Amino acid sequence: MKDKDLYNIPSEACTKINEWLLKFPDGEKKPAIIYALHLIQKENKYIKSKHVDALANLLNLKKIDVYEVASFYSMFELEKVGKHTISVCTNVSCMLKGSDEILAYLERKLKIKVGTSSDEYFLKDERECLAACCGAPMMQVDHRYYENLTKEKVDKIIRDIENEK
Amino acid sequence: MKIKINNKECVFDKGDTLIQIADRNGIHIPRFCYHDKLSIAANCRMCLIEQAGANKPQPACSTPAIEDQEYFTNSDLALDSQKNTMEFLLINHPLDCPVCDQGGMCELQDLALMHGRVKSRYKEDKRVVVDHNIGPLIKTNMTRCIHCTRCVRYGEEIAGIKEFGSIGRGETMEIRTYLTSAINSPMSGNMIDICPVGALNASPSHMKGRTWELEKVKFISNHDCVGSNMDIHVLENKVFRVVPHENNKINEIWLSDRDRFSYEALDHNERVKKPTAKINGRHTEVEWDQAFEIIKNNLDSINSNDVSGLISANSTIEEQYLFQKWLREMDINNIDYRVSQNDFRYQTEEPFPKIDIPIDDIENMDSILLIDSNITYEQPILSHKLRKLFLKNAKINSIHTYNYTYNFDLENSILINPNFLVDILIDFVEYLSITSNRKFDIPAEIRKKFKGNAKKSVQEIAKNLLAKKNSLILLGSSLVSHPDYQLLKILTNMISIMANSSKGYLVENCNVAGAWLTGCMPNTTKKISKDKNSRFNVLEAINNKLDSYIIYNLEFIDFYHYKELKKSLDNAKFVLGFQSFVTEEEKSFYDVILPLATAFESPGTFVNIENEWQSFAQGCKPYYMSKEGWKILTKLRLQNGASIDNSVDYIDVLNEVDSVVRNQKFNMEEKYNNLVIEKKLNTGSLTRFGGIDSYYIDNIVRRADSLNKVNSKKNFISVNKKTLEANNIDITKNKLIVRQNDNTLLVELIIDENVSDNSVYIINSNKEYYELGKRYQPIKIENV
Amino acid sequence: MLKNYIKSFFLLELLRGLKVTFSNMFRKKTTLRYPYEKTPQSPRFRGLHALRRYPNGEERCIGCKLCEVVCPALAITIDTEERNDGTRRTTKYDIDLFKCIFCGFCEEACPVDAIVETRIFEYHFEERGQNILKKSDLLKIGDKFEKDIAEDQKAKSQHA
Repeated sequence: MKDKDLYNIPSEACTKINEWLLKFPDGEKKPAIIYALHLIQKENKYIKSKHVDALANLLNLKKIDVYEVASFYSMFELEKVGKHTISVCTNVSCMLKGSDEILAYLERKLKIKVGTSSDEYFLKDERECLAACCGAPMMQVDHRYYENLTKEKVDKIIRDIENEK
Repeated sequence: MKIKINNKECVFDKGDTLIQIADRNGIHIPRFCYHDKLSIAANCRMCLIEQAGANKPQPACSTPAIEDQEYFTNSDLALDSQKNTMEFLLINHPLDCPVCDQGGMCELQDLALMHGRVKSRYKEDKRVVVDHNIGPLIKTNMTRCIHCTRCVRYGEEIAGIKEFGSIGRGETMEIRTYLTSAINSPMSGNMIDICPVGALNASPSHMKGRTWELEKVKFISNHDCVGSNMDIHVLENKVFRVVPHENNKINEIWLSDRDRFSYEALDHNERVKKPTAKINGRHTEVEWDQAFEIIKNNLDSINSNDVSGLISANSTIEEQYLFQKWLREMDINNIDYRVSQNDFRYQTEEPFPKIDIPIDDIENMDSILLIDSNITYEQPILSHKLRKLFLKNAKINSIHTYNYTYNFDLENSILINPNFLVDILIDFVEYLSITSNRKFDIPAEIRKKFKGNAKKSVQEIAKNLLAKKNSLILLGSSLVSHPDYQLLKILTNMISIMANSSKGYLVENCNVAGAWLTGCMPNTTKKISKDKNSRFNVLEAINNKLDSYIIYNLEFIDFYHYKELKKSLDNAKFVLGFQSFVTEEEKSFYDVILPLATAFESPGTFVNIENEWQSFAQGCKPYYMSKEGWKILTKLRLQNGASIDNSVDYIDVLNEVDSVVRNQKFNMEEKYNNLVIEKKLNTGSLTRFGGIDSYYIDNIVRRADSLNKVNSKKNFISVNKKTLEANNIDITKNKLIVRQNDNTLLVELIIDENVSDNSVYIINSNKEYYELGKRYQPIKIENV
Repeated sequence: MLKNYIKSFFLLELLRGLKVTFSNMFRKKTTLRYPYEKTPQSPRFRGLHALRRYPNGEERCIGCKLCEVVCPALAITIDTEERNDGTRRTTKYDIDLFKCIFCGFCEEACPVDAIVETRIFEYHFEERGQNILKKSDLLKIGDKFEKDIAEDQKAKSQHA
């Protein structure tokens, strides 16, 4: 932690990670990975390989340890993503209520395929249930839930996002 | 405590898991992720068994037994859950057993036969995983992986270097290394063995044969002093692959990569195929008889005092015994095996190269002191024992000239310039002379060097050694070439006596103990040689420019005095080589070369560092016209008129060696009365140091293709920043010139803070470094 | 006593024998006039061996050596090498027809239906050494009779 810039992690993040580390028993570094990755992602939109290297260096862990965690959780992005992340739930309840159509509509509307990203949007296929079955079909835009979707509603949501700018 | 498994009563201790109890009692439970040397993961679910009264099946690998319970491994519930698990495992497993290297020895295949359905009900597409290149030793085929994570746990727990990880989750989970990094552990090959399916395969033998065609021969590792047991699998008279042979006293079930993959050298194009002799200045292939005649004629014409016989410490004990016997029968007494040694002082105290305790006892130590030992790469099996110790909270300390990478953490470490290694050990003696309650008569010469106050780090380590009941001091194998090697050994012995700890002198070759026992050196026991005159050791033999040299299984770069040797050979009248491999350049120095079978191709015995005699049978027939060493030497002795029964065979030779040399006494002196201390290494300037690359240590490993692809063979040196600044080196450029005497070499520079001050760390991994000069010599670095 | 005389006088036993003879004379014949006529064969007939190819011309055999190891008469000898595309192929595939006992195990062991036994049973050797079928010979047989073999394979798969 001598030369913070060398590790590509902003100094504020470094201090925060160090504070977080104090909450764990001595020598236990792994619990800090998730927290640190959150911080990095917040700052950089997505996690680059140099960040993984840097974090491994900082926490004195193997790079693969950090990468395991980063790749396991769907909330961490490892590829370049657009400004807004849209995840459409395609689990059973949503599927029965027509999430496939919503997804296809979004694909057409945003002109990107599921799992890919344009400069503006990142259409993410959320495989696992987002626990909003009561309002199926649903999607998540930038960590906000939108339920009972119809094509018109989707249009409105996208319009709202664009107006916000 | 008792439980019943399948109505059979089984005794167990508290905390035992069901699978352990079942294994002890010979009850079969299928498993993939469980491995008795690894931690429990319980992620394959193959070992589900029924517990009477419980409504769900239990995983036997992670469930501790409960007293007086009944368990069933073959009830309907157990069998049904195993069958279902197997069906799920097979869903994504490709049906490519006919092209899989594991086919025929595959755990998945066996268990699918016993516990699987006849036909798969799965009709959808199977998962396909893209393979990544992870180095030249392991070939991956990750589509076959069943995610048991044995390899991940192996890296984390056994090898100590976590290289594989499980990336992603659910269906997209993959076992792979980080991005494109390659596997670099010196024990990585074991992952091939523990992989229950064909996902990890040995790259050199990939697609070259099927498992049922192989013949198995037990063999002893010939690349380090540990003597790992292994099985060589032979296909059509060629070594197909090498796998570990379980021996809980030495290597358990592990094997280092060096032992596993070195066999590739056996059909290298530098193998000697036929006896060759220099006739009219040109090398011509001759018949064996002709070669023997030339040897006899030449050796007869040379005074026996002007001949020197130099034998490798990698040869079998039978060869070493017959070699010295053949020479001593001709009254040639200038014999030596210590070719990489530089220091020959204190000859009478040449100690038996031995570790005081058995290898499996290392696990019971609580304190270790390593003296400049790169043990993780040089003796991976010993390093594994130390890692086990480390995990048991033993303290491992180290004095080193370079911050070597270990697969355990150090408690205290001292980084020191190789020039001051002797001084720091004297500091130890000084500190121990005050604190130890063991009285020891410290020679006046050493007392004179006492400074009065030892460094704090020295005190820490010494205290650690004293405080613990079982401690061990290991002297690193690369120090053999240190100019003060004998002094270091004596000091180590003193420290071990005063600290009341065991000690071990690690060596680079596999049969140094054998060479010592058979008396392949000038001053040997009376049992072997009655000769009373003082004879030349290897250094004197080279410096005195004798008329004739006999070199057995050694390459020139094995010699510390590489260049002097070449000069002496150039001047000699007759140079005889018993060689398995010879380069074009070296060939010109020899008058006669006899093709020698390697250890793989000959029966023999190696004596390892704990003085354990381990014999092995002939693995495959010798290459082309080459012959086993014991046969050649017996023939040569017969030619000289020795009385040997014509029907002598290998076992007779072994019996003779055994009866003559087995019970020798090797007491270490506990007193040093007339010790004269004179430090030879004192360059006063930049010093070159560093051991030999672990894949460059002997003539076989050097030629093993895949192993040599593991490390890059580029020329580079490591120097720390302070030294660079002191020598006015331009750090911005990554190239510089190193100069030793008149030789220069353009090298890449690595700025490395692991190097001690005022020294240059060079790993000797190719011939150019040997051409440059010797280790532990002054060196200069200059800008390009 | 008298009974026996009558029996031998009227040649009754001979007549009974001849009755069998004559009754068979008018029955349907079971013998064939080979080689002008041939017996019908089952699709599982085990005759001369052949190596098959895929429709795109790629040989099926992947050199897994299962047929070699299963052969009870040790009639099959295989050498393999890794081809440039990473697949294993045979460089030598010999079947010694003198050793072969036509048990069909090789066909059964083959995971890719490469080695099959065809319906050909009429062949002869004129010289020593012809009894060993080389890979090229086997492939030639396979190419020539691929249509029949494919049909037989299909019929066989219905029995499996």
